Amino acid sequence: MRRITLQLLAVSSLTLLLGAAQARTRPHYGDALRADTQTVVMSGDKSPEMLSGLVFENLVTIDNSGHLQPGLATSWSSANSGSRWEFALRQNLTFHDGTPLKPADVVRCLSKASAQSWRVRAASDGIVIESDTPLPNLPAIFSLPEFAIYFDGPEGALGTGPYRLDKRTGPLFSLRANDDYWAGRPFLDGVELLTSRSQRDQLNDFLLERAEVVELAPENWRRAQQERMRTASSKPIQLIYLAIDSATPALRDPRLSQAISLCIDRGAIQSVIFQHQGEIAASLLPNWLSGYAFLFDANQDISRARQLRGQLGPLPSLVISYDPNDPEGRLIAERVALNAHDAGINLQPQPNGAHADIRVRSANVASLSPSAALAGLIDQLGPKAPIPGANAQSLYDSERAALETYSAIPLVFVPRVTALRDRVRNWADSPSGAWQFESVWLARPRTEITR
Amino acid sequence: MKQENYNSSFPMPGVRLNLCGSILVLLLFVNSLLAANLNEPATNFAKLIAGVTGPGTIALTVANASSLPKSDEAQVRQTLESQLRSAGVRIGSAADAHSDVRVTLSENLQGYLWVAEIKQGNDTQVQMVSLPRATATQVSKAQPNVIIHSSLLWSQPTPILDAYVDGNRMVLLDVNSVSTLILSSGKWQLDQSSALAHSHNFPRDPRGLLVPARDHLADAYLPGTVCTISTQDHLNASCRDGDDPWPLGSKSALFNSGRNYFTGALFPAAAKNSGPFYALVELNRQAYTLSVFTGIDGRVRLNDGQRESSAPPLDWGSDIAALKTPCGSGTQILVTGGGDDTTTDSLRAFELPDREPIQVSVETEFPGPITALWTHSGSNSAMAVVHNLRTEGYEAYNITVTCGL
Repeated sequence: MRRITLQLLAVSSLTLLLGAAQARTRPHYGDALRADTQTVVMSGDKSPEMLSGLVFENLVTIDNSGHLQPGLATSWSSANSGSRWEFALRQNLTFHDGTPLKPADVVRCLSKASAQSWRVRAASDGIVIESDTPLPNLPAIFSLPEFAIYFDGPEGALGTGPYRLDKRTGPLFSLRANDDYWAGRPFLDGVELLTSRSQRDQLNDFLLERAEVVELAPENWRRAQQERMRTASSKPIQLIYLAIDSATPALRDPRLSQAISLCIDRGAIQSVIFQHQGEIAASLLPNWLSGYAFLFDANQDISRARQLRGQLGPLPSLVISYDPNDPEGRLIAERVALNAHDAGINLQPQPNGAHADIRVRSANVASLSPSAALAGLIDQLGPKAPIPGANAQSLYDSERAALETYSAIPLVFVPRVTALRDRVRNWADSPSGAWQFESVWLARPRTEITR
Repeated sequence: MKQENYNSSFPMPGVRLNLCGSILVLLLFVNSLLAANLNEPATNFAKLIAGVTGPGTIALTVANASSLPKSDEAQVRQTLESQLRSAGVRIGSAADAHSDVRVTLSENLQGYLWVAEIKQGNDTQVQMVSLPRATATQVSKAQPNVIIHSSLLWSQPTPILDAYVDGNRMVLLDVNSVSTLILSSGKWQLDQSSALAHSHNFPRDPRGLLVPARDHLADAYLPGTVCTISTQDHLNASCRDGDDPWPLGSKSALFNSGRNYFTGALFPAAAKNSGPFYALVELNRQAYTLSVFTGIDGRVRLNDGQRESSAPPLDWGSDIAALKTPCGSGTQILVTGGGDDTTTDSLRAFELPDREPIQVSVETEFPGPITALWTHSGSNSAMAVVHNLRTEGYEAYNITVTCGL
């Protein structure tokens, strides 16, 4: 932590030297930007979520106000209360190698994206989807990264987005501008995305001007602001939670998971570990997105936890594991074990335990549409559950039902914080914190302008 | 939008103004908040609650955890209580109540969400009502001497590239179509539209220019595309691929069809190619015409037909337009402000008596970046297009300048 603080001080000095405001100018075309991220992309992942919106696109997108916007589909309509949907495709779309995008390509992607109950077929200028049960929020669901439209080319997956994947060298993804992008060529010639980069390495890259955009740990955000680093923070969008292994016999009784949930001091995790960034969580969706998260009680209740524990009889010691590369994960595991001890539950923190009973995990809220976000989280965290409906009441009912399985215990929501060099322009602050490079451009260094 | 201006007693002609010390700025907050009709959702909400509690006595608490103003909160509370009473529900103390109803006026990304937690013994039920959030407020600045006036003509979700007003008709160019609008009862109303057929995708940050014509309505210049707009039976846009130079004052300039700037090639050819630029204005002098370019390198260049020089480093944006007015030297240059596409923008007026520009107005602010600034109507007004960051819509403003005292 101290080392990172010193690095932040050094960065801030540099920022002050370079950070003089420049006059507005129309965006400049050209240049390439380097961005570092902790995200790990598996080698077999053909359409990684990280490239969603950059290389791969969806039929529908969600704007920063949470409303549906046309993507590869220009319009959509439903019949029979949402049991039948028609999506009209944008005309003259091509994949990055010039191959025309046809309705059959969309059918193929949506059919294999997930084991869903719907049936997809091609129509003359779009697709038709039919389902035995109404799917009132299907357009929002189609905004999720897993429903990206891509084509399996001989040299990898091809998308339709503003950037094409030029090459992948280990953790480095080199993206090049798509000159024929339907919404206009991006301003940057290219983006270099370096994945699997630790917080410390990212800060070094930023300090040494090797990267224009890096991630910051939420707990370092306040310090970075004090040091006048240019930062952008999302809404609390990343859910930190405990994943419960239902294969552990003791945890098959939901009363034990409930007791663990009740004994956790979430306020301490948010204030101490994350330095007051984010908000405590007892729900899957944050309150700013759902509006009803306060209905889920996040308060610590040790006496009720002890009472539930007392009903369970003798219990074995359980392993709570964390990612050894995640310092916050270790602190959370230790804090939860401490709280559990107060309720008479013995949890042993271990890094990457092969036989972990409980794991400290994180999940991104993948959409600014509450219904799509909840569907994505339920799919990711819990047992298969029906796709939630579109209205708030239906979402609340689905979320409560999912949480009552106790396969996931929410702890906190934290924001995604980004540090930016001053010459990065048109950086759009999104509630989701998603990196949207299609409109970003780089101002030329001041010395170059005034020379 | 209501706007007030403040006129100071600064003499204008030939006087270099020390703006830092002398400008009086009147900030006027114009609350354009449209009072949301809260009675209907509050009535529906009361019915949902009464449907659960049934008639009898309940305890009711209402908490506002949203951005809903206090006055609206009181209105909601009042409507809820009266509608509950109409449904036979009496609101009393917790001791007498068979139901404890906690109402939270919450909100989410998309709008307001009202939540009622209804406790009856050990059972709790939840009822919710969603409603859209009201619009926000508008801030404007007025200025004391040379005064920039902006009047909102039209707004739409699609990016507007240019527009001009000809009497009671407005011609408007956006990325998809050209439209005519008619002024009726003081409001512009859409009359006709014609789609722009073009064979290639426009670049990001697209630009376009409308030029009124004599034998047809207008010509529209777009990146790599030229359209002839006619109105014989109905509005028609006939487009073809082409890199015809765009008319800019007395000159024409080649536009880079894959980018957002002019290449620097001018017709008639200048003695020296000025290099790529975003905007060009001309100032008529007694013996020559001074061309002012905003280069893509951030520099402002001045060309008198014989030689070219760079102006001192300026904080000008890349869009400029010249207006002929009865004020000062007779020509003011409107200049966009600082920031990028994620920040609000402004216009300032400058004069150029010599080679050093002098600011002659204070900033007039706009609710988003100015994405287009063109001069029309004999150069006594300009058209500014603003991407409103609050509404995400594009707004066309008519810009004029009047003299201060």
